Amino acid sequence: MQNHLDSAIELPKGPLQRSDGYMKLLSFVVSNARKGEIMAIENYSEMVHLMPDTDAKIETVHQAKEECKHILLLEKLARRIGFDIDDTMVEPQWESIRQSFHEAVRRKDLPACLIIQDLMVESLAIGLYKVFASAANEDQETVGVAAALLKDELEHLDIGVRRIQAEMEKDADAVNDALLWAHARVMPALFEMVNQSCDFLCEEKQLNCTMVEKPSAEIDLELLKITALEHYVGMLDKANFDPKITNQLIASMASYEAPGRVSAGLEFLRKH
Amino acid sequence: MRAGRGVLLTGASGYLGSLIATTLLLGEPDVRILAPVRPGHDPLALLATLRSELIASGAVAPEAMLERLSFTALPAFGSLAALLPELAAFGIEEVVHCAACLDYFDEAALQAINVGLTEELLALAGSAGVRRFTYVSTAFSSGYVDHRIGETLHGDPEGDPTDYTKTKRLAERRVAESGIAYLILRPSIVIGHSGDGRYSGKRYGLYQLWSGIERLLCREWHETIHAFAPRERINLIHQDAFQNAFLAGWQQLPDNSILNMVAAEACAPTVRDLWVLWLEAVNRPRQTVFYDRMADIPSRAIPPPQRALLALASVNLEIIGHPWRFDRAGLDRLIAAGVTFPEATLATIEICQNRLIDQSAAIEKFLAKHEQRFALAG
Repeated sequence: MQNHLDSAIELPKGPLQRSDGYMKLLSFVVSNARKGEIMAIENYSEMVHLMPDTDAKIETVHQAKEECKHILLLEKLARRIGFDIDDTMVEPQWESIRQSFHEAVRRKDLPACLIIQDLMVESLAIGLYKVFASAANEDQETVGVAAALLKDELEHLDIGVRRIQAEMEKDADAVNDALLWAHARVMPALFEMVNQSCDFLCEEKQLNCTMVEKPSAEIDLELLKITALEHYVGMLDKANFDPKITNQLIASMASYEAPGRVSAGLEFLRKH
Repeated sequence: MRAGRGVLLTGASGYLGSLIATTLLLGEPDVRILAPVRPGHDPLALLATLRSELIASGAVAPEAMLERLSFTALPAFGSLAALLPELAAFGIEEVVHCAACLDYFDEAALQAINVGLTEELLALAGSAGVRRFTYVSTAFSSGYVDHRIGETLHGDPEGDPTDYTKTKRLAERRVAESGIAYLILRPSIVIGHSGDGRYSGKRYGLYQLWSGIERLLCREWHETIHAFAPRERINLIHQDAFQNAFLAGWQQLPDNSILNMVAAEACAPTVRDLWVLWLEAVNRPRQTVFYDRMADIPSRAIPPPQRALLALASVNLEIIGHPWRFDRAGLDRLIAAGVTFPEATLATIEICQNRLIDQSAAIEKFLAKHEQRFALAG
């Protein structure tokens, strides 16, 4: 499998000089992305027995296998560039998201499983990989890996949306209930994780991510949040959820999606 | 230590609470404030906010004023009685209760904080022999009603925009039924200072919309922008108007008063006016499509950032798009007696808008990126 993966993505060699701060930032991002991919393997594997037919079971196992590939790619990127995969940088919210998924499986709630893994977690993953795969990023090695991962995650998102649409045709009320249940449990944790990243890096790792010399000005947490949010809203629409319901859910994110004071005119109060 | 009147102020770490704290420190030289703060709130950060607001308000000796402010840890809910000895030692005569939960959708937290905490504070105030209990509610506590909103306690409405308004209405009733003399203040949507536009609150109300546009619609230029912009007038009050009305109401109104702290309808701009003001200053689309009703917007067909913005701001936009009509006889009497209440007009709102625009790196980048396009468009 390792050889197959090595040939799957060609990592170009580049002369880019990476700052210490950027390497630390990469270590943080990749450590957490890897944790998300590990969780995805566990989620997809646990979801297999809820799938309605053999084809869907096989497709789900295939999704889990692709997440294995992602882990190996991330580890390879770390080795090649020379930063650590550091478990002390992994955010604790992953555990609560995993627990919510496990609870959905225990309830035999397939729509909730699909919504958590394929809409919510994948939207965050897509936001992250899009930021790093952007044309403005001069770190070509990172761009190559992020673009490959992004392609797979977009496919997973499409599979998830198709499955949710099918569930919606069977019982729209049950799927709407599953969305309300899953949104309240998972979205605050996902966005809290992103919001706290900045504080964590500052306080625990002495890394002010706004000051780090990066190969792209677009690598920032705000853009990650916005991209993930846009994807989430878009996929809810694509999955045919009623905007009257989804608008309320997205509006409820105002309390945790962008916390903090504005401090216009009192600039010295701002943290950075 | 006991010289002067002691005031227990809750919610001092929030926007309105911090404005009330500075108002009392500036306008009531014999008042000392005891402010309970929740674990996790840094008193030093709060002091910095208050200091800057005092300086911006023209205070010449802010440090001396801040010496009249003390912090104490807010005990866990259900244990507020533990504060009783401290209230006695501090000589608390009045309570100003400003702490609230604004999370529209967390029903349990809204009930626990807006109603439960108020009940507990009322019990504490009763035990401490407090002379008056001032409750900072909201102009929208009536819920959706089809009549003018008076300065009396509300009955049950036809519906509520969110559980926030419902729990604030319930809390008002608890205050009025407590047997303690009360003052209920109902501000509408508070925005920055009318003179310089400064603002230190969270991204609520109008700032949620502005910040949402800044974050979502200022990465790329949008040729067409779809905006939910009803022609209803939006009720906004400036923070300095809020502060002046607070102080006057606190000093002058008789016990058991209710004060609607709202804008004069004739001066208030419409939601559409505010969209035009912003779009002309920043986004400058070739075309803007305005909608009177949220349901008319083709949400699945509009660009993803606009769709996300619409969803994020949907509840607040629906609330401000409702035809609210308020009585403000109490405020008009205070104004007639000399209180300065700068109305929020399009011109003064523009000051606040410009303040936000001027400090935004994202907008600066957006305007620079599209400078040529905007210059050609004239």
